Amino acid sequence: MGILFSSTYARKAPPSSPTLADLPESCVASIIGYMDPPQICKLAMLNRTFRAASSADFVWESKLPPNYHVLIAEIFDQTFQNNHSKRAIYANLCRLNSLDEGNKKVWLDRSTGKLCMCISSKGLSITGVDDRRYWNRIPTEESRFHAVAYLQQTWWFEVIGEVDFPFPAGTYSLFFRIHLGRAGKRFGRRVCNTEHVHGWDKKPVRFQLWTSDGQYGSSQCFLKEPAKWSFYHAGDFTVVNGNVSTKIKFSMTQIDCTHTKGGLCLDSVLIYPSEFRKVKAFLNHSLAS
Amino acid sequence: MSGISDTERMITLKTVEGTLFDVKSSIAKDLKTVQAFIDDSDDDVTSPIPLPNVFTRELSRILDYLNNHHRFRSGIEKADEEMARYDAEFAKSMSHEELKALILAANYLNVKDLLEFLNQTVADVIQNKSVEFVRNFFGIENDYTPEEEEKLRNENEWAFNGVEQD
Repeated sequence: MGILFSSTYARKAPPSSPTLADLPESCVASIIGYMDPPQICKLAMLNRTFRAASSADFVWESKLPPNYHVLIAEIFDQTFQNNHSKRAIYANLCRLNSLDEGNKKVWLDRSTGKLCMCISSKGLSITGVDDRRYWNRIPTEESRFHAVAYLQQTWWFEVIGEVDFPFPAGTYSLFFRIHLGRAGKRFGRRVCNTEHVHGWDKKPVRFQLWTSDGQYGSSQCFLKEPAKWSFYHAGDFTVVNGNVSTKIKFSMTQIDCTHTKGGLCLDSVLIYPSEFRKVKAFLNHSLAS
Repeated sequence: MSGISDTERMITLKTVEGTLFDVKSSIAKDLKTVQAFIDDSDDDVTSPIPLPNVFTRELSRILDYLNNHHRFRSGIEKADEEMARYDAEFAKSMSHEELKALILAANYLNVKDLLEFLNQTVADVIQNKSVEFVRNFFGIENDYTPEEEEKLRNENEWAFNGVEQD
């Protein structure tokens, strides 16, 4: 950024108030680059100059995950045009994009550009789920997928899931979203039926997480706090290369057959960047490890 | 170039108000505009270099910043912590007007690291502020019609009303 140095001496009055007209374009671009995406979009509302500056491809390229080309190929079909601006790509990735016939949803957190994933109970392998003596699917507006799997009672509680997806490089935490008790609405108010909740205080549930590159984690935890949705932390995994698919397998089990357990709603499994545990309020109280 | 060791030499700079500043040549190197002038001169620069766009208040701040950063970098321990503390104080010590004036001066003199720091500081100032505040800060007028504003708000909806969290 070479500025021509002029040796002509011209006395100037002190600037009463520097305005945008005085700030060089490179400074404006640099300032915009430091903002988070929602703020950049706000800047577009200032005036036309800012709108142009804030739509620049290089600004949005820096907010996208480094492997966004791979993500586009995985998430969108061929009809997704190649000539979208980087801003449009970012906006599209921030939507709740569906995979696996709607059983998985994937999106970028709009402030940080980090990838999140949600797997519905239908996308998980639940032992005995087709036996209506044990499990039922109940519709609810408290789930992103509009339905949850409700366990009345079983000896053998086993939920297994698998994901094969090109996660951007980073460390992720996996959670089970669970509700002890069955919630419903009566006269417009939320009511919770906990009469079937039993057995979870006898022995802990066990969480396990495997990756195809050899990472493994295991933990145990008692399920508690009925009548509200809780996030149980099952484990973490680290992705080094976002350009290849990461395969993970995870499970939640309680197969001690000396006691039955039940009264549990299983909504989904969530995968968030690990740093969200510190910043997102709803994960602050996530239980287990 | 003369044979005198570079770190010994002093350069004199003159601000708009005529104030003279003696600056070590090692510091002057960070003022890339000034350094370019020195490099382009055939003979040693002995007379004060006039800076027609730079005021005393700004040059004084810039030299203060550079002197401190050079001092931190040559220190052995805890340089990062001290530097961070200094930078925070430095940013806080300025009003918004002074901040903008300093950016203009730092840009004119091409002081790269300071400029980046100042840009980051401005970004922090406007980060969570309203559109009106930011307009005021930059001294710009809204050149949109109400219809265009509405359209823009819809276009940007995705950034504010994204995926619901639990």
